[in-house]
Amino acid sequence: MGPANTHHARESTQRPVGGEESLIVRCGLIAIAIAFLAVVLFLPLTLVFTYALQGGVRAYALAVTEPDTRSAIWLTLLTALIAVPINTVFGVAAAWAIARFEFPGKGVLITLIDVPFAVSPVIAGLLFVLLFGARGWFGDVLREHDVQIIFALPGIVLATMFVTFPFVARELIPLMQAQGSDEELSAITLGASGWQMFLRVTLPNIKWGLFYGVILTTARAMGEFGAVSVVSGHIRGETNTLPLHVEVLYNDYQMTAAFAVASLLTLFALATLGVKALIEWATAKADASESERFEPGVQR
Amino acid sequence: MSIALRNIHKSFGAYPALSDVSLDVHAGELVALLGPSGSGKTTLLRIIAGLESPDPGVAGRPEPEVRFDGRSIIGTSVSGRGVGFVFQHYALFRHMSVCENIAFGLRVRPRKARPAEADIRARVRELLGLVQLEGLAQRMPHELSGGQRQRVALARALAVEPRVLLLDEPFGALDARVRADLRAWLRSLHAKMKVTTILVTHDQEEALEVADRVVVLNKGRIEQIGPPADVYHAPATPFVCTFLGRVNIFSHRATLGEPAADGAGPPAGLRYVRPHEMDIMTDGLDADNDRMHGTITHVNAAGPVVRVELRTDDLERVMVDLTHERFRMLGVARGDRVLVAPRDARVFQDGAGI
Repeated sequence: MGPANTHHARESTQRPVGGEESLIVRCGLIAIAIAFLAVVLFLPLTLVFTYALQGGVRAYALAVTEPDTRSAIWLTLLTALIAVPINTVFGVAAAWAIARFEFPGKGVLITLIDVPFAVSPVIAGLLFVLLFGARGWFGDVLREHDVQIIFALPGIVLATMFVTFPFVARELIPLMQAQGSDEELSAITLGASGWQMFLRVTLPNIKWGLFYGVILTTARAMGEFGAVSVVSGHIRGETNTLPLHVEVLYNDYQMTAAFAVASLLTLFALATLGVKALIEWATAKADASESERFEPGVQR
Repeated sequence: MSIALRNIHKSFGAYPALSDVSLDVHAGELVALLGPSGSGKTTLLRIIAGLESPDPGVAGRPEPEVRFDGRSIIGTSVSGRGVGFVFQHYALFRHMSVCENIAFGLRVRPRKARPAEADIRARVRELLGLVQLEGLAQRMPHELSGGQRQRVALARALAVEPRVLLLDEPFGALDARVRADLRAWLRSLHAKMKVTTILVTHDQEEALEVADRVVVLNKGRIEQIGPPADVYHAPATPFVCTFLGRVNIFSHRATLGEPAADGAGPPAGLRYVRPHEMDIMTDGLDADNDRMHGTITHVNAAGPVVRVELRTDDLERVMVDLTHERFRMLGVARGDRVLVAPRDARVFQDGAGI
C-alpha cells in the first residue's frame, strides 16, 4: 500500500489543476488572499506596534511597567495558570470517555462540550453573575461564609474556564477515535494497570494533540474579554486582566498606554502561534513517519 | 492450560452475538474458531480474554462459566488472567521500538515481580530469535512490514509467558504469500512452545491447515467441532459443508436412502457434492438419477488440479475438479458435451439450515 499511495500522491500533485488559463486564476486567487490578509491581519498588527511605540521606547516601557499594568499581567497569567491545567485534565477525561466508551447520554455530553463555542461569552459571564452574584442563587450563602466570587479572581477563573473548556476535548476526540483502543487493550492484556496504560501508551500517543489543545486554551484564556468583563468589575490594579486593562486605558484616552498593553497581548499571541507552528511541524514529522502504520480506509 | 466454556450468551443490544456456546479446549491444543464475519468468533475470543463479559444467567438459563484449568475466572480482570492477546491490526505501541514493545509486559510488573534490566534484555533477545527478527530490535513499528509487525506482536504477547495465547485474525491484514509463510511458522512455533492457543479466522484454508481442531461458528452458534479432516470430509450441517470449501448443491433427484419397502417415497433432500467428488464421462451412457448431461463452459488447468465448470441441461452450474491425469485421459475441452456424475455425496434434509 505504501508505494501505491505515494504514486497516487505524486500523480495528483503533478496534474494541472485547471487548464492553460489556470495561471491567471491562480495568481488572482493568491493576490486576493494576500490583499485580504494584509488589510484585516497584517495592517492592524503593524498599527498596534506603531501606535504603541509612537511615544518612544521610554513611554512604552513606562506604560508596560506601570503598577496597574503589572497587576493586569499578573492576573492574566495567574488566571491562565489555574484555568488551563484544570481544563486540560477535564478535556482529557471527557475525550477519553467519549472516544472509548458507549454510554447513555454520550450525545448530550458531546453537545454540552460545544456549548461555549455556541454561546456568546457575555452570556457565560452573566450566567456566573446570576449564580454567584450578590443577588444570585448562591449570593446569600456566599455572603454568610464571606466568599467573594464575582468581582474577584474566582469569578474570572470560572468565566475563563467556561469559555475555554472545549479546546482540549475537541482536539483529542477525533484523534483518539482514529487511533482506536487496541493499543490500550494490548497494554492491559500485558498486565499493565490502568494508570500505567495511561502514562505509557495513551499519553505518548495523544501528546501532540494535547499540546495543541493546551496552546489554544492558553491563547484564548489570556485573550478572553467578554465573559471576564461581566464578572470582573473592572477594578484597576485588582480585577483587570490585560484585555480589560486595554479597554480601560483606551476609554481614558491614554492611546499610547492602551496600545502598549495591547502590544503585550499581541506578543503573547504571537509567541503562542510560534509554539503552535513548532508543534505542527513536529507533528507533521511524526505523522509522516507514522502514516505507514495506518491501514487503508482508516479515517485520520 | 485447558479452557472450559459453558452456557455463553452475549447480546449487543437486541443483536445476539453468541447463543448458548459451550466449548472445551485441551491443554497445549491449537484450536481455530472459524466462521464468517458476524458469527461471534471474535466476541468469544474477547470473552475468554476478559475484554468482554458473557451475559449473566436468566430464569431458565444457567450462569455462564469460563474456566482455566477448572478454576472459574469470570471475576478475574484481564490483566490477572495471564492471556496473551494478539490483535488483527497488531496494535504495536507506535512510539516504542520493537525492543520496548516486547519488553512492555515485563516492565509494567510490580517492582517485586519485575525482572532485572539485564534479564529483561536477555528475554527480549531470546524472543526476537524465536520470531526471527534478530537485528530489528531498535526499529520503530512503522519501519516494519506487516508480517514483521505481526511477529513482534506475537513476541510481545509471549514475553509475559501467557497461559493461553489468543490470536484475533492474526494474518487477516497480510497478503496471501506472507500469510502462507506465517501459517507454517505459527505451526512450528506452537509445536515448540506448547502454549494453549486459540486462533480466530474467517479463512477456512488457514483454519484447516493450522489447527488441531476447528470450531465452526455461524450466527453465534457452534455448528461443528472436530479435527480439520472431520469437519471437511464429514460436515455436520449444510453450513459447514458450504463454508469449508467449494461445493455443488443439487436441488433435485437426491433421495435419502433407498425407497421404503412399502412403496412410500423417500424423504427429499439436497445433495452436497465437493468438486473433487465429481467425475466426467464421455461414453454414451444415458442420463439417469445420478448422471447428468452438460456442456463444459470453462477449464482452468493452472493448478494442482484441473478445474472444470459445466452447465447441465437443467441449467445448473457444476464444478468438477479432475486430476491432470484424468483430464488428459478424457481429452475433453470447452464446449464439449459430456456426462457428469457425483462419486460421493452428502444429503441434508431440505431446509435443514444454512
